[in-house]
Amino acid sequence: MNGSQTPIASPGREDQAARIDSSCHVLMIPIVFSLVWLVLSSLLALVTSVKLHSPTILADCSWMTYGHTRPAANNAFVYGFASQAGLALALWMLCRLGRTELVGRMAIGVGTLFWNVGVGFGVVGIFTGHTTGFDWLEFPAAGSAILFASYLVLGVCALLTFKARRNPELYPSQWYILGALLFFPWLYTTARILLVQAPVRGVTQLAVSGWFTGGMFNLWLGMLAVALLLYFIPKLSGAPLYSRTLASLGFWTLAVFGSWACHYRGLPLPSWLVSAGIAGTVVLLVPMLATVSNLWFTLGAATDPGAKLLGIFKTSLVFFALTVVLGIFAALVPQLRLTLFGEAVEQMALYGFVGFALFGAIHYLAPRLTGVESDCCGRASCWLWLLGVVIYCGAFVLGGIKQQHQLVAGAAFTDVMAGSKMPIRLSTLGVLLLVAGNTALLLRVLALVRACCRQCCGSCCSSASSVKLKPAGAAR
Amino acid sequence: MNHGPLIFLGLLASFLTSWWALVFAPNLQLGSQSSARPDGAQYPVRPVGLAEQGREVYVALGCVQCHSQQVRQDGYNFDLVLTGGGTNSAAVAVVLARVAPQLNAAETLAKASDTSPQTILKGVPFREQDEARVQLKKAGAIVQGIFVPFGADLKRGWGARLSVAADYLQQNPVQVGSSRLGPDLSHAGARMPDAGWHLNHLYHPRSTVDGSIMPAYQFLFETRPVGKVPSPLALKLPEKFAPKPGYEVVPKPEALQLVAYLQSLRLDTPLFEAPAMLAATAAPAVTNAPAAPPKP
Repeated sequence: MNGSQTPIASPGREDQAARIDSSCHVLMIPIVFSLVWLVLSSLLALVTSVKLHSPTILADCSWMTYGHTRPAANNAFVYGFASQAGLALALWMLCRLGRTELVGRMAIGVGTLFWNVGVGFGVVGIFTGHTTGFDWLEFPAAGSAILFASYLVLGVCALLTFKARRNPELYPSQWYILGALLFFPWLYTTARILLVQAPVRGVTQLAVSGWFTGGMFNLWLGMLAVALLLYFIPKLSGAPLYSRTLASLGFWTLAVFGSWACHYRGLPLPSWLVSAGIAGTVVLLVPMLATVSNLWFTLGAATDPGAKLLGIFKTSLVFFALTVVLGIFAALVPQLRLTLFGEAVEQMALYGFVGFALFGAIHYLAPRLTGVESDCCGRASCWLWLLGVVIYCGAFVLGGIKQQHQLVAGAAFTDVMAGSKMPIRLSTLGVLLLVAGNTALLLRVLALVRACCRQCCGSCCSSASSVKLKPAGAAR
Repeated sequence: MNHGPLIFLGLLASFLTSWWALVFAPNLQLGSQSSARPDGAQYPVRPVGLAEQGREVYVALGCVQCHSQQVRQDGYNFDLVLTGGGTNSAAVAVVLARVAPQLNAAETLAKASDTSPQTILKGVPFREQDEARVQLKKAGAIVQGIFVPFGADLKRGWGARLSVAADYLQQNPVQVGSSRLGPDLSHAGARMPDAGWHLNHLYHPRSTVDGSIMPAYQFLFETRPVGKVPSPLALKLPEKFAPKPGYEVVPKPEALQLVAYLQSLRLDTPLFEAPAMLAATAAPAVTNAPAAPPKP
């Protein structure tokens, strides 16, 4: 097929890659911050989960009530971890694929700090009850304004880096990154204005909110994750991307229908809108199949099928497929979205699909950016995540199906609740494993940063020579 | 696909399409919906006072994370009521005996009047109701078909009819919810009118609903030594959940506001687009029914 361009580094490019990587040092700031948010988010998810079977835990603390911890955990994951790490990795990919150095390093460093201030304000706002009450938009005005301003800085730097590319031919990952970079501000400002600043009336808020969450997931996080998969799977397996045509089909169908995939079923909205939402969810099969088959055939031609970290990206690919298929059920089957099943699909998409792609990329990138080689905690954290996600989502999928049956059959609600207790207990175990996995990853990256700083100090103090970094190719 | 500007234009076009279809068009259709009903009444009425403050507490505490406010229904059945026999009672009695053999035709006819409508058919499909109605009308009787919504949510007492767009006109933000970890609250006020029940439930959910998975909201209450005169607001908790002797649990203002809001929630106003029978709302609350009143 016409896999004309691949991100596989040839030996001659190693020096260039090392130079590019050394221009990306600043990206360790967002990566470390994002992992701190990840650990915080999973701790909050743990509190959320425990509260459901031990109702009096932290009952005296208004900050730690269920209605605060759950949105705080979700927002910390989406904005603190996924968006921040995704942006950092996108910037790095833009540099590598465009064979250019990062533009505006200082601005990126400062922008990142403000991004975290924004997320911090937002999360504290949720805790103190200043939520806006809409999914993924809960941050109060102060938090979201700072967040958005710093996004503009980071986004402009990304576009400038894209513009400064020395390689005119675009690799599919670059399309996806460009798409994500543009869709995020469009979606975020539209939803923010129509829901919070000048709210539309009545149920039209539901239409906007559904459109926003669908778009945020598919067009922002989803696009970033697919960009990572398309970049890393060919790179690690040592095979060129199978087909550029399939990639372009996947890209345009995702771009056009990504924000149509809304879960409106059962809501008091016009039925044409409900049908459009369901149709959008089903159409997502096309970009999913295009991407999965493309990468599947790429893996078939792999020269190094057992490459390190490849497993994480494969897992992410599997969860991508599962998420889309289960999402169709959640959109079609009455009430299923309202049960634990809906939560399972959301968490599987966030942790399984987006999360695994980001985890793999961070594991790959952190040693290269710090120039330190260390393998501690890597394997352990991957297994902990996998077990955690499988237990959490598995329990909720099964529990949700049972709940749906009871809800639709008109069973007494106390019976429905009693049936959901076991899956909730199991999910606590899953979240506990996720906390452990996240902490392991954070510790690993912190250890790398510490070693890097030590090397840096050592070289500065012993001799006046500039910092010598390991070339990227030599790291692995 | 190597030109950034072309990709940009493509992405902008796809964004605008979805914005136009999923944001702009719904607003065009529903954005100007009015809360003035054709009969001159206002629906919904904006909650006032404590209930309005309580709505803000509801949003701030994130109750929406577990509780939906969207009732669904599977469809309509029909009742047929008779309000008069007309001039030809004999013919009506014959038809009546045929369509509703279980009734005593003469007695029903005698009782039927505008002030005492007699139910002839109960909860039957439209066609059956319609056939009976046409026959009775031909015979001269005054009969009327009545919409009876049915569905799993209604069976649980979560509302008298489905939620429709008009129900949310006064809500901002609309808290329709996307999870049913807890029961639907659209009809909570009618289902559980007792403020004491709600307060006990918030303080310790398991004191009112056995095995509830709802977290306790004890920060909305103050546990303090009983003064010279016990507070009239103090909760009357079952012994297992009561504070230690000499102490009482008193709700803070937020708790009272939240309860006022919950008490204001009902979903039984008949609308043109969602007919419902007011009498049918007395259906027993199947879930979360108030437990036996707490012993003093």
